Amino acid sequence: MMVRQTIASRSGRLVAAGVALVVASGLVLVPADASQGDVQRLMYVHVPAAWVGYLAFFVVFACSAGYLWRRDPRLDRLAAASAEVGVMFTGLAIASGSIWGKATWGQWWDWDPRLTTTAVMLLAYIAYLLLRQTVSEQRRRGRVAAAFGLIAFLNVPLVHFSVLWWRGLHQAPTVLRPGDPTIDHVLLAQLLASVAAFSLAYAWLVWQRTRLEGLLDTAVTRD
Amino acid sequence: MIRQSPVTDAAFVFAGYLVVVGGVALYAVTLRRRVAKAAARARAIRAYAAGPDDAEPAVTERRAP
Amino acid sequence: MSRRVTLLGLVLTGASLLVLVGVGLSSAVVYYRTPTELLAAHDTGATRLYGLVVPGSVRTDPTTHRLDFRVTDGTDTVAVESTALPTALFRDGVGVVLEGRLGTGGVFVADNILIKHSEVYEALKPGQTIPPGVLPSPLSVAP
Repeated sequence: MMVRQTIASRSGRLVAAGVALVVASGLVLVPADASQGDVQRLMYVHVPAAWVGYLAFFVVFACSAGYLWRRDPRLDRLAAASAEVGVMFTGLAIASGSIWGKATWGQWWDWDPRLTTTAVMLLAYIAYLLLRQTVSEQRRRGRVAAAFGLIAFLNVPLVHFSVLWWRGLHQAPTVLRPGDPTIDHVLLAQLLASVAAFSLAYAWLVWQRTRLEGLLDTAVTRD
Repeated sequence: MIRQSPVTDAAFVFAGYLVVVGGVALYAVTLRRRVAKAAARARAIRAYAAGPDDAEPAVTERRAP
Repeated sequence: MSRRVTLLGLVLTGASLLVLVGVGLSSAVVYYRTPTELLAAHDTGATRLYGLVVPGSVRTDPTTHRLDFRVTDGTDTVAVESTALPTALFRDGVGVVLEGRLGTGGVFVADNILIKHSEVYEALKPGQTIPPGVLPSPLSVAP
């Protein structure tokens, strides 16, 4: 128990240091964008937060499918953990995007397809978390949540392709597009480093959140 | 004269970074506290299950900490 | 959290989700129109118009706070008048989404000017500065 605590603390500090590093380099080290200037630096937190949201919800999807197949409670806990962390990152992606939007577009929010589908995706996963709260019996909760987790994932490709399928205010993808990324190598390196650091933060948070879910379940079944 | 937003780029960037990094940090700190609390409770329950004393169990029902 | 409160939250979230989908689909399917489409439709209702700011077309009036410029999709060009204040990215050649309506005389009256910036990013080279906006910068104008 104590050993695991120490590993959690040390790895947590390591991940925090990694995030601090990419944040510092994103803020001051990399050159500004030739068109937007310094405001474009918001990309290095906005894009990773949005990416981690996708990643988290994919994990919910995969674990939900796995749970329905295998009925392993660990998959259910992982899905619950990933959903909560994903909701947090998606919320932060919307908040930082809103600030970037105010600075460049001239507006905090707009009912553009990308923003609208993202809001729907966020609400769907908030509903997923609320749904879990309403069912107290573990196996039933696992089944219901897994079914919802499969359906809710339909939102995710909709969010990604919204900028390509429909006209809107939000720009098209820079990196996840057919052909070369439309971004300079230095800026791309910074973006990828940010995505990597945020993904590690996601992994650490989900690990801890899964542990919490396990502890809560243990408290019930062992009693 | 036609004027644009007086808010500087630096302020927007600072606010955005603060929201994201602060948000993640706040979640992480809260999560650690939740884990510690749940671990303590699980230990108490195990101690109760193993021990001969007939004290009341710490928790009988799952609650989100 | 009691079960009833959570259920209520669930229902409210579900309901707002449906409203969002409704709002989104009704306004987002045709988010904006191009100058060619707008001129062909002869529609004077509230709409969004997207085009590139024609280089050299921007005129500002310091007394009336009015902004005149033209937007183009490469085929057709629409004259625009507005009292809205776009961000510093408002430049020659930039993409703009205009909220407003086609007025008499074929001039589009824009209540709002949004900049639709591109997904292309380039590092600023040492000594290089970002291109100035066509409007005076707030930092260079006395209040």
